[in-house]
Amino acid sequence: MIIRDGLRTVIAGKPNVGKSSLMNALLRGPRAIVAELPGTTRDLIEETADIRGIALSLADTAGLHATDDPVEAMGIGKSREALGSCGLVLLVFDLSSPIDDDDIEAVRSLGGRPAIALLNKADLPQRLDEAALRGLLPGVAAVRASMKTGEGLEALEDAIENLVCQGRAAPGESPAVTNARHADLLERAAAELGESLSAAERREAPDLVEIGLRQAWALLGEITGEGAGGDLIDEIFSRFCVGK
Amino acid sequence: MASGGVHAGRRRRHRMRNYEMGSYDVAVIGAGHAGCEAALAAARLGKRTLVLSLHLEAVALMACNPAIGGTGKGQLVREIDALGGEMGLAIDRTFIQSRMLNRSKGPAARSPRAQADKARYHETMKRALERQANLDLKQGEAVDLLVEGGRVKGLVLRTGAIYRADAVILATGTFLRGRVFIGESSYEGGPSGFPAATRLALALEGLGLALRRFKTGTPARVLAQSLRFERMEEQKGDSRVLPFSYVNAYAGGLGRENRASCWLTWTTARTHEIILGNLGRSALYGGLIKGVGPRYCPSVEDKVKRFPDRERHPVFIEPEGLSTDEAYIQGMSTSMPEDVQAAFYRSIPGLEDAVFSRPGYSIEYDSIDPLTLGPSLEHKGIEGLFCAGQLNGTSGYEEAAAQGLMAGINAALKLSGRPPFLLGRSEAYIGVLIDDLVTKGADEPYRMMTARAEYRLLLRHDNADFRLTEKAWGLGLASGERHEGFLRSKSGIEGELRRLEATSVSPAEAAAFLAGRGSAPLSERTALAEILKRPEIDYEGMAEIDGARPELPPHSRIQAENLIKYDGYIKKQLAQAERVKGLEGRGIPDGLDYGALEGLRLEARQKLGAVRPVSVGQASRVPGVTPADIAVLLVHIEKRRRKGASRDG
Repeated sequence: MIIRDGLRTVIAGKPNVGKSSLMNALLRGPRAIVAELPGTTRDLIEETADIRGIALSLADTAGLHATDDPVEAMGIGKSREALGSCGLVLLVFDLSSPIDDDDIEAVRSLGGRPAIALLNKADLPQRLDEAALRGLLPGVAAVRASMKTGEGLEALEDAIENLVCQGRAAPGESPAVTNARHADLLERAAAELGESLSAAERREAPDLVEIGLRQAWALLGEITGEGAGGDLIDEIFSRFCVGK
Repeated sequence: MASGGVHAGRRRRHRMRNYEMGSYDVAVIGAGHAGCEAALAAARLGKRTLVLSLHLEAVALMACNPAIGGTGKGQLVREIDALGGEMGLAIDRTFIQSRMLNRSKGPAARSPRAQADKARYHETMKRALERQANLDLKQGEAVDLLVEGGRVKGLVLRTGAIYRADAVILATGTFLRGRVFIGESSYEGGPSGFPAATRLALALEGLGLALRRFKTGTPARVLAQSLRFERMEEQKGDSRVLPFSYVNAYAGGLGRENRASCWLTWTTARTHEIILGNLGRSALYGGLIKGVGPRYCPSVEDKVKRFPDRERHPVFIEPEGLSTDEAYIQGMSTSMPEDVQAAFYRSIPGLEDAVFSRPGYSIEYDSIDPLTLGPSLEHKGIEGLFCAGQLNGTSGYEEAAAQGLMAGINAALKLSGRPPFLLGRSEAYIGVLIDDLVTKGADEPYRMMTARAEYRLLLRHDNADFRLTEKAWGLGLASGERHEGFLRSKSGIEGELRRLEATSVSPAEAAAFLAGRGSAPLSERTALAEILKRPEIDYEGMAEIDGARPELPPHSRIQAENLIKYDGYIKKQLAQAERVKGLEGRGIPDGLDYGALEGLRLEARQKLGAVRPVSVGQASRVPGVTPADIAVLLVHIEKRRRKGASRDG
């Protein structure tokens, strides 16, 4: 079966900006350990959140910053790995402290991936130069919020929905498939879709373009059980002893 | 379900004596598009056949549009022809304008359509029935069926005459308990002023057939001399007419040209205003009509009401023939009173001074639930009773003719003790049509469309003979002339395919030709077949670099071109069809008790019990049946098979 997996989303930012609080808010309940001490999150924590029907596979990461602690460094390494394979980054900043090198490092680590900037701690006196930060993140939506009061969560969900619905954020890596037959069916379906796409690009007639689509649909149906294939019964009888 | 026999005749007024008038193998009630094909097929298969019409002037009547073919329907006509039916031959003899629709849309969508000379079409079909050996065409109103022990034995006419028959085919069209509506008036009647068949409906109900009301409609007819054609856009036919019938194609074409044009105009804001302002006087919206109408062929009241955002709707003026000045107003069927009709028709550019010869009307009629039929179109409750055409809930001449042909073939095969002739969904639109009807039913008049066929690239209008003519030959329905023509045509096409694959051109030879069509130059010697696969290249144009090509007839050129151009797609769709065939081939034992099948959901038990599918494939298409139900069914059948096998061994 396919492990249910959503859009791989990484929550990133320097330590203690409120990444774990954001994760908890998105999951609507405490999962990650939240503490005042920077660097509390050392391991990668993954959870699936449902944001307006969009499945997000959330990875809370250790804060990205320079460190000598080898254990923490391992956590940071995993964070970078997660960043490499994700489809959406929620980059968290602290409105109550000025921009520093770690913030700039976090911006750099984005590398052009689809992102939303969450400007946290809006409930505290503002010391961050918001205009300068927005200048560092051209084309990235920024949402002011407070994880403490819950302010801005709606706006964040709007931003996530917009990004996904515009097709700008997409799963970064294929979900895990643990059945060889499914893997084969998926690959064949992908090939069919590719053929349909190139037929459409060659401006072939719709009756030709649809053949690959239909075929891909049938192949996917064999995984979901929506189309009973002709060999279903043979498979049942080869695997189980029925009717003796 | 056995009937007392001739009760309908006895019950009426004074005592009427019934009398024997003869016996036939097959009797067909109705001589519309379904009845004609049914009767011809049964007679051609050697059965002594009677075909009855309420009025002989109504034989093969085009009660609505004076045209044959169209999207999805044109393919049906070519299939009917490839199977030895008559419709293609009749329209080839009587067309006055012919066009290939959807030329730009792709090979599966292309569909032939022709305007008919309506009167000549009727005469031509009537003459075909008159000349057919084993076939008697008679005017008469059937009012009852003879049924004994659940088997049909014959029929009774209004006059008291009894005709015995071992099979009866019902093809009653819109005549069965027909009721005509024009505005606030309504009266018992069939199409075009012909009488309705009302007593037969009562008799069928007496036999336990559940009848329901469907409706259809037609626009007014106008005199062409009263129209201002300069205010409309002329629609010409194709410069080269492709015959519907393969027999004519094999013989080198029709040698006849288009004789008439159609004209395009549009409804106006005023048209819509008049219609909306008078909806209360429309039979449809005034509440008089209870029957369900065709969604894909709506009346103009429906169009204006349901699509308020559309500023205008197209209107086509189509000539009804060369010996009449009457013309059909396509797209404008109506149930409005005559004064409102006149007002809104005259608000259309070109129709300002229109003189009307016949008003538009709606007609309600009785139809059966096609789920009560098996795939051979035989009724499940009365043995030997076959049903075809609008009675089964379809709309359209072509849909009717296709069912008539299949009902006629299957009635004849049954009487010969042979298995039924069934077509699969990947073999013919006819297969799609009948499978849809007997598996999914019809809650509204069913019209064929290319979208209904999942393997439509295989079901092209051009290759119906490749798909079906050998089957017709095997049945005995294809004439020697047809079969020889087919074999000749097939070998010509196959030879041309081999030649196109074996003949290559150098980059230099093809350079100017390809450049002229915006096509990339060749990098090496390339086979003509490969070049033809490019979307921007067509077979006709490729003659420029293919001087040595043989002279093939037009229909063969189309077939060869499609086979090469779409080869990869065709193979893929064939493979798709093949995969599904496994389920189609798994028969379901007769009389399987779904109620006793463990693991089947209640809904599936009820639905499968009502449809009684003949194969697992058909079962899988019954609405409300899930793949899990099919798995249960498959396991049960396999268990049963194994039990049987171990008992034998």
